Amino acid sequence: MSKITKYVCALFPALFAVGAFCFFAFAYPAHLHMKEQLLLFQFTWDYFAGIAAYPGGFADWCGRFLTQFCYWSALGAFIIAALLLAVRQLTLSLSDSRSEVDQALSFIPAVALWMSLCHEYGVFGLPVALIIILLSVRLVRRMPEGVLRKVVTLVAVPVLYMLCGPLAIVYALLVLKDEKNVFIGIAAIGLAVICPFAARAIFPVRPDYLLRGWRYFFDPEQFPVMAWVSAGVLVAVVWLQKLQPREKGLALCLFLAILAVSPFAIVKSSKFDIEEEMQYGYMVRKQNWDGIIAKAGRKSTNNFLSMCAVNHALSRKGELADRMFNFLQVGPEGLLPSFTRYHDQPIYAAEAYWDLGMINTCQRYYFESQEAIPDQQKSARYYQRLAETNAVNEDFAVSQKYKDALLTTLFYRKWAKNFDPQAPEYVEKRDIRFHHIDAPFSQDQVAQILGQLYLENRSNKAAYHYAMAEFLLSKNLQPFLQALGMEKYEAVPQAYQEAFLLLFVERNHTLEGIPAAINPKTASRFEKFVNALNSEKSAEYMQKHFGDTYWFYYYYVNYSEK
Amino acid sequence: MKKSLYLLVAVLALSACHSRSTSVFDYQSDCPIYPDYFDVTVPANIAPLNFSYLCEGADKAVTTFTCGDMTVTIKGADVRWKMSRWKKMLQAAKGGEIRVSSPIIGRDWSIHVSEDDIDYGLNYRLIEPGYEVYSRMGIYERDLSTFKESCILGNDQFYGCVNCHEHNMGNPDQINLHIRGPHGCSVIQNGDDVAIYNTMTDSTISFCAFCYWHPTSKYLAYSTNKSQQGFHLQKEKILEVNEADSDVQIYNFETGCLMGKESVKSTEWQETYPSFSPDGRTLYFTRIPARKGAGSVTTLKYNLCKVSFDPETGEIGDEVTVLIDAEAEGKSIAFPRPSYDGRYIMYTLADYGLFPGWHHEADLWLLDLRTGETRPIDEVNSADSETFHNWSTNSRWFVFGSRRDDGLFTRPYIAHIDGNDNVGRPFMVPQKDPRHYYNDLFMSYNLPEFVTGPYTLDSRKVAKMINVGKKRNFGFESQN
Repeated sequence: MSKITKYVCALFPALFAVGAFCFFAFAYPAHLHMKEQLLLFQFTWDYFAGIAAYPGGFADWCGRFLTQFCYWSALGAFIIAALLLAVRQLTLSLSDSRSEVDQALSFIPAVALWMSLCHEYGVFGLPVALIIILLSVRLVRRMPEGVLRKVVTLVAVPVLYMLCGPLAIVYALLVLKDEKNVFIGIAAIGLAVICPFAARAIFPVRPDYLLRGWRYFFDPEQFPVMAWVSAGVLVAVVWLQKLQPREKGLALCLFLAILAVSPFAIVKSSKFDIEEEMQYGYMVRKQNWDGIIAKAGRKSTNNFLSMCAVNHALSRKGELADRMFNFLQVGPEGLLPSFTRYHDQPIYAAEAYWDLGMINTCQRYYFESQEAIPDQQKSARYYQRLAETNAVNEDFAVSQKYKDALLTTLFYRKWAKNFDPQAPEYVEKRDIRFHHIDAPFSQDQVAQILGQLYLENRSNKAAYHYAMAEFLLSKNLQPFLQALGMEKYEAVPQAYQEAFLLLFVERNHTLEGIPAAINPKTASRFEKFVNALNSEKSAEYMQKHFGDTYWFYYYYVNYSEK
Repeated sequence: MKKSLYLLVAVLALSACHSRSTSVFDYQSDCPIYPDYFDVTVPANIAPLNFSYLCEGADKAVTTFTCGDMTVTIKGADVRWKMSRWKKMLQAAKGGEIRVSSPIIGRDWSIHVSEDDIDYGLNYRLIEPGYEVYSRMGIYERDLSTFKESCILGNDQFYGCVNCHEHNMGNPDQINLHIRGPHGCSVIQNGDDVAIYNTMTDSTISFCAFCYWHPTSKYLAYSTNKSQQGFHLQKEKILEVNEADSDVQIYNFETGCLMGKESVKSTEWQETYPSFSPDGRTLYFTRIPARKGAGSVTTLKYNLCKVSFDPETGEIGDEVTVLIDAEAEGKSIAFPRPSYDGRYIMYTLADYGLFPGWHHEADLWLLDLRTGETRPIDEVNSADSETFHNWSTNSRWFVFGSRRDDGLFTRPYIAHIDGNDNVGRPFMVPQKDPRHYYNDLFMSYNLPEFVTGPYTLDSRKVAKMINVGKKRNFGFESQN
């Protein structure tokens, strides 16, 4: 072994683990938060039995147990790094020679698993299942030759099918490699093939679930491609350990190839646009309003959900009416996005509705999002908010029910213990919600609904400004003008001044006689805007000089429905 | 004449200032118990009525059950029976009562044990009380003499939603299940014949939904509904189901066709919730004038109607009789269910609408078909919604869903009615550990109904049929 290869062999595992940790902790933390958010891990027998009673359920339960620690993304990243390293070390441990080539090749299955976890639907249960399988292979290998080993080899197949699902066939294929009695190996494979078919007679679930596994991916409707790719790679690598050539320098080349190709493959598997959207979502959850505004200031977003978070943050800071057009607006959908039957998208709007006092709408969005969680499980975060919406609505028994469920969790127990439905926050929400007017919720009428909400309680300024923002974003200036006089201002907000100027000039064809409430600087800038518009300057020019104004939005942004 | 009598008595009863009964659920006690089993009437073949004390110091409670010379003492906050002792005591108390004493309660109380047996079990759907999106759900069966529950068909087995289900007078060999979603169909088991159907025809407005078996098993009455949902902004209400249109049709097994007639499938009216009388010669349903898209949901006031039906020829009558004019009193009727002995029709009365599950004011009412009198069943109604009731095959028991626990999650209750119109206090369907079971259950019991034996539907076979999607098509025959 050359000295370089020796050092590489020694350092590569550490480099790999640190790389995985850094990737998930610093480049991909919101994905981990999202995985945690869509989980309600309860320390109860019923929860365990409900998951582990089906093929693959135990590995799934273990994966869920670990996923809850993504509450802290750094800890989640550490767990992922540990899981990936464990898969690599166990893969290597199945090599008799543990040659440098084996040491290099054994990273490939772990890289495949890393790629699988980059998907928002990647689950921890998959590496856990493979670890259990690899440990089982090691256990069987260590047993002395004899009848007992043969029996254990075969019995382990259905047991692993129950624990880890149809990936139990990986165990059979790996055992076949070492089994001197080829019939036992073939019998193990046969058993692994039969198990999913036999399970159809026992478990009342879709037969294809039992055959392909429905716990290796968050959405059971989708075929878990990466699970089977990872498993295939794992089997191939272990078999290659037997067949591989031992040319000098091959190991170093392999290490270099892995080092070169893996980052590319991992980045290709990653969805950084979704990560960014999720980061906005996480900051809304943590009420990091300054962080949201700063992030949007650094890099503008044209995503409806991210924009919803930015406008929400501006509202919470009391700056919506002044600064909303300092950010690239994408239309009314970027203020309060329409409901979609998706497990996380409605939450962005739901959080805004919660702050606005539209408790029923917030509750509905949360409830529906939870129902849309693909693996049909529940979410601790959603339970938390549902406990709160029901508390505000004075449905205390229902609120208590959600709270009781959270008491059985690790990270939400403390919150549940301290949860007081009569806390000032909830009492305040009761004041600003609807009391008199009832009508069905309508996305098309959301500005009018917010206006009514404000009229019921004039202290609900956020509802007023959201209604105004909705009018502005939908370029509906008549109702905007009517509503402008309802509120008293020390200084008319910037966006309202700009919209007012548009209307004023449209009616009077001059800026003469503008009310004193309009800042002269704003009026002067508007004059420049009109001149530029009349001289047919390019859109780029207009954006550069007037991109932070309502006028630019009004004339140049063609928003579309989602 | 009889028609006028019905109308007169019904209107008088509805218009009488009906103050909601509170007495039934005002069982004051120093220490409440869950479920509330104070003075309930139960059948002699029911599973143990386990319960828990809900007050401080309850762990030291001593509960003594006495019947004749039999005495059973159970210590602790959670009263858990051994099955054999419970059965023995229940048999001894048949036609009488079990006296229950516990110093922590402050008074003695009774469990009345009726001589009337109850059917084998219950069949219901478990579903989260949500809005539009659905997650896990299934049709379940519960053996009432034990705690055994089994899933008949769950949506783990196919992609979609399992919906309205209906047995023919509790017959486990005859069931209709409505499946929605990508694999939408109706599953009909009629004896040995199990098939899935496409129930939509060119002459009907949608897939078949609410259904009711004809006692001869030759027909199935269906409603077809064009439903929409609305979501309230105010806290008291959550959602509303609105209908743009609805009709009633009768499916004829012999011809494979839905039969429609102007009397029940009219452009002037919206008809829904069909049910047959036990002799099979009358079809009950509810209806409102056709809305044609106008008006608020609060104007939906359904009346209870009937039309004749000839089982020999399959002919639907022409003349519709209004049995209860609820609209005149500003109310709305839903879910009429005739008792199998032909004496009563039980229905839900709410302020408006056709989906009373979401209406806190919805109550159960009873129309006595012999006298034409109708009355609220104060013995079982609570301050929250009661609805989706069904009769036992001997018509001595009825099961219904109530949201009295927390205002959201529907729980099944069973009540006894004797031959003299007396209704006993209802009891919540027993569980091994009811306090934790019901508290941990985030699902509602939807459409509970009695069944006379364990289900015979082969769920794997049915799931396969649903997934494969090879459906028989309903035809349509107009009788106009």
